[in-house]
Amino acid sequence: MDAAIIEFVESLRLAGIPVTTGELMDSMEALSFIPFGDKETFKEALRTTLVKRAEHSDQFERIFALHFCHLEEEKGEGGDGEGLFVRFLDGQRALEKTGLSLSPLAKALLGGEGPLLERMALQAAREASLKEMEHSLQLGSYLRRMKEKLGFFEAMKELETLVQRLEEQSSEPQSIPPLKNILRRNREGLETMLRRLARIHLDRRGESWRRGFSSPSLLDKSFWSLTEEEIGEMRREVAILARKLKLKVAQVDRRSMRGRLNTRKTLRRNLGTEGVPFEMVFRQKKRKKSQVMALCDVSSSVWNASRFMLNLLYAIQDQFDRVRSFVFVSELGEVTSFFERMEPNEAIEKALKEAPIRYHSYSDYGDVLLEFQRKYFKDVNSRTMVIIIGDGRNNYLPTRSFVLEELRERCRKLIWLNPEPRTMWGTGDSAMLEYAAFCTLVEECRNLRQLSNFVEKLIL
Amino acid sequence: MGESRFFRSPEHVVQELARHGYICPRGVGTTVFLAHQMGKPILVEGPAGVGKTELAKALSMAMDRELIRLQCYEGLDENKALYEWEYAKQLLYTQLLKEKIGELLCGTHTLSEALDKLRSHESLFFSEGFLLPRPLLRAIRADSPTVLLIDEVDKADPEFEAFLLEVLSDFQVTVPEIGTLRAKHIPMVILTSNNTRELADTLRRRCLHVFMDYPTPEQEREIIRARIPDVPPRLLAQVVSFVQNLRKMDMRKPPSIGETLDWARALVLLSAEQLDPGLVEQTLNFILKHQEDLRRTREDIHRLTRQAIAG
Repeated sequence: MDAAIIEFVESLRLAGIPVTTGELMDSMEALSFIPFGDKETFKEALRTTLVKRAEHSDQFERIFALHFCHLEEEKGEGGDGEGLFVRFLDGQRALEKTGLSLSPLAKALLGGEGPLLERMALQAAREASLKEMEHSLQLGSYLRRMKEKLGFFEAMKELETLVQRLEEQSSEPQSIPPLKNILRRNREGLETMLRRLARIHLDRRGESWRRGFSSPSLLDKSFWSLTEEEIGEMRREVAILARKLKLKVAQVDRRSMRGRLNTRKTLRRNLGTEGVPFEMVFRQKKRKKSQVMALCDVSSSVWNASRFMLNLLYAIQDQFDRVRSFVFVSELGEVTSFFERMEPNEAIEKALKEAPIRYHSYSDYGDVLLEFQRKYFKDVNSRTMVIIIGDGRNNYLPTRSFVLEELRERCRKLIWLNPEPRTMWGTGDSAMLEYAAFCTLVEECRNLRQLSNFVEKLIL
Repeated sequence: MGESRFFRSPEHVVQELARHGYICPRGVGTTVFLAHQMGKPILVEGPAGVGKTELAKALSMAMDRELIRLQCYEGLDENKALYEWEYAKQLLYTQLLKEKIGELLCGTHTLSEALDKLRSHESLFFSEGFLLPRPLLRAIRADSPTVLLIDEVDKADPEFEAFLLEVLSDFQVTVPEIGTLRAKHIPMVILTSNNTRELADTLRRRCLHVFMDYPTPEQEREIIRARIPDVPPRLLAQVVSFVQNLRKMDMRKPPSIGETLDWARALVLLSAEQLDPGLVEQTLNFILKHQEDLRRTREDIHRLTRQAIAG
């Protein structure tokens, strides 16, 4: 059993669920308290000791099914309600009549002994080192190896001889066809079981690969090329990042936010000790929170970067006094109200489609800047951070970078994030180099890692 | 710590809790059972109002143990959670000492003799007598085993978590002036969290974990029946179906189990046999507390009531 649990934990780890050795030991201790054979309790015991986050629950279920669901049940191929094997109680009697002796496998097949056959199959899987199978193309050769380890081919010969012998003796000729039928069903049953076993191993491996090896690189994956599925995974990644960032802020806060001694409160608190200050009261420094105005280019070339920027910004919005968000292509539209009414992901989807702007037009940074100046400059003050996300590709239209110059004088920080590689800036219709000259900070922001590094700098 | 193990099996836990009006799924029973066997704390996570705190209360009743509660909040520190020196009492004691010191030291001739004499009394100053035990220390030092509820641990600061960890791992506390105080009995510890802040992995590792979600319709009916036995069956079914539908809508504050119970109680007091839109309208503030939620539900009250009646 222990070996099976360790294997299970290895799968969990590969799938990105962190399990410590201590927890593994806890799970084994836990199992010693529960009645043997109660599968539901067994699962619950593993879950409560190994999985400590609700979001890992689904993965736990899947991996558990791959490891502990019995070979004979479920995974229903055919599913005619019958098990894989047909019990044949008269097998022993028939065998004695012939005076032949059979190998354990042949005997088990003759009797249709499911549990015994399952144990043998598992043993064979171990001996054939099924765990090392990496690809479904290897399925055939591993099946053959398992059969060899089982002594499958020898058993088949033995059973053939048995049938022949019975036919020769033939005291009851009518019993031969049913016997043949049973033997055929049981042989097929065993083969199905071996195939399932191999499949399960492949699935386990696949499950682990999918999560375990894709997720770290997700951080470095360029925003350019994301599938729907990856966008979903990316969102989860953003949520984790936001959590880490908040924790960091809280830690820094605690260290640096203690202010001077509050004499009045200290005296009052210590009246009971005649004003001898046993307990000090300190003033709390107020962190000056800034307002953020995020301007996101949502033309098709950069909208993924904008999406995750918004995602991250709103996940940590309590770090700011207020977050206002705008989207633009050739016109500027404010989408702040979406985020006030809806949960962030929904709001982002809406912002990428339903803001009051024309989405299918050419980027015009110049016009957008003018519009921002006209409508929103009055709201920009010395506590405002303006963040622009875009590639600065202006289709050779007027750049109007003087607006940026004026903007920088009004706001606390003017930041430009560009999802293009730095080497591309200023090539073709990119006005990035011109704009960059007027910004407080310009960063390349092609993937989640760069984005999160930037946001960390922003709030610390 | 030779107390006999109270629970025999996960089912036994579920039954015992149900006897005290707390209905929970089997998974919770298994965790409680194991935590009890292994002497480990339980971390219960889940949305507000699913009965996380109630679990601890029900356990204390079922096990007939005192419930010691530590409510966490920002700024909670060791002094509030573990122990504090009673400064005022100590001060009084020193004053007493000042007056008595002449008497005490009379008969001594040299300074070192006086010091020796004093030293035999000095240790009194930092003794358990001046220690004001707070919930954690009380749970550890209690003469009979207790249930210790550490409520909303996510509200406390990260530093406090680290400190908790130390206490929960060996159930002993070191008071520098006195020494190490060991637990007389290992308390049954329940930590709850709404996840307003991410808890550290180290704390998670130390605990057995339960995620509690809103109950299924069957469970919720059972919960209400357990607490309000005289609720008419038809009303019960409709109330549960109404509340379950609300939870599926995107509410700012979905109705908790406690609020559902209050609502059902109110309806029983009004001798309602079943729901109708007028009645729901009047009593809606029992289950929804947020203006926005109330407004949205009122707009749709006929449809929602019909839906609940249809089951």
